[in-house]
Amino acid sequence: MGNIRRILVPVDFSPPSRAAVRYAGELAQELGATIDLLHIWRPPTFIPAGLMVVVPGAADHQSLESLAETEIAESMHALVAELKAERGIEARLRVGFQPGSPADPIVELAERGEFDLIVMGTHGRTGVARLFLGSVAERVARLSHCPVLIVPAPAAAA
Amino acid sequence: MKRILVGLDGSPREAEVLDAARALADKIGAELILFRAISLPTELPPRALAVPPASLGELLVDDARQHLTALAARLPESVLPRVRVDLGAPWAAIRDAARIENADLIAIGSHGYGGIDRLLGTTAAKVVNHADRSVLVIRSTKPV
Repeated sequence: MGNIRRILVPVDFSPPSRAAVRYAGELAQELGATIDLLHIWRPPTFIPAGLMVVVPGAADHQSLESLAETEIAESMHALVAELKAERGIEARLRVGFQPGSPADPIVELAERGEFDLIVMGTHGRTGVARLFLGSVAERVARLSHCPVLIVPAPAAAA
Repeated sequence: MKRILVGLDGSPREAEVLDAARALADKIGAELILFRAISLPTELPPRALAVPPASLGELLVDDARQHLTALAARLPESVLPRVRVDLGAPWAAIRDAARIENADLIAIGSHGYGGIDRLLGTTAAKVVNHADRSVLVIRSTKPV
């Protein structure tokens, strides 16, 4: 780990991931590094019966995707505004639409994009599955070739 | 962020973890605590067979402390290097030492705190899932 110039921050808008954005902002300011925010949106695999019917590839699915896109864009821009206001950092935005574990596209991008550091929150929004499969952060830490800095949830932080 | 606890394992790969932690400490003005956890090994050095079992832990702790002290001697004074060795399972010992030392950040290797961990990276995974502070995970470029 030589000079840290480019920091990748995967976000899922959970409290730990917001803490990670703030941490990355502080670090980037001290190191003079840039920040790329990344969100990987996974199409839901289960939707309660009666709520709506979704067929992969059908029109409904598309509309769900574009709905998610709008929501994500709003949440991402809020994080960018926060980084700009608090740290004077112009973060870049990246959004991926991909099924499966978000860990894999995160690691892939980190490798392609020549990032020097990944900063992310401990517990993502993957709920109970985390107990059996390990958290997204854990998987990224195992697979990534660049250093990974994992930030705990704000309540757990000392 | 002012104090970094660096979890080392005595393997050839620990140098990369220490280098990364040192580089970060230099830039953000943090101090370094070099840490090693001693758990019951599956392989013992021949010397161990000559000592009573009760002092075996002490012997291993002493060896580890000497090794860490040598590493610390090569670090610049600006990072105020200190060493600490505790007995216990590496992931729990690292977590507890970080609490006791009030470290702001834990730096560890992604793999290699003894035995099968060289392949699976279970120590790093457990530290990541159980630590109550930030953890920097560094992957070695050396083969397993």
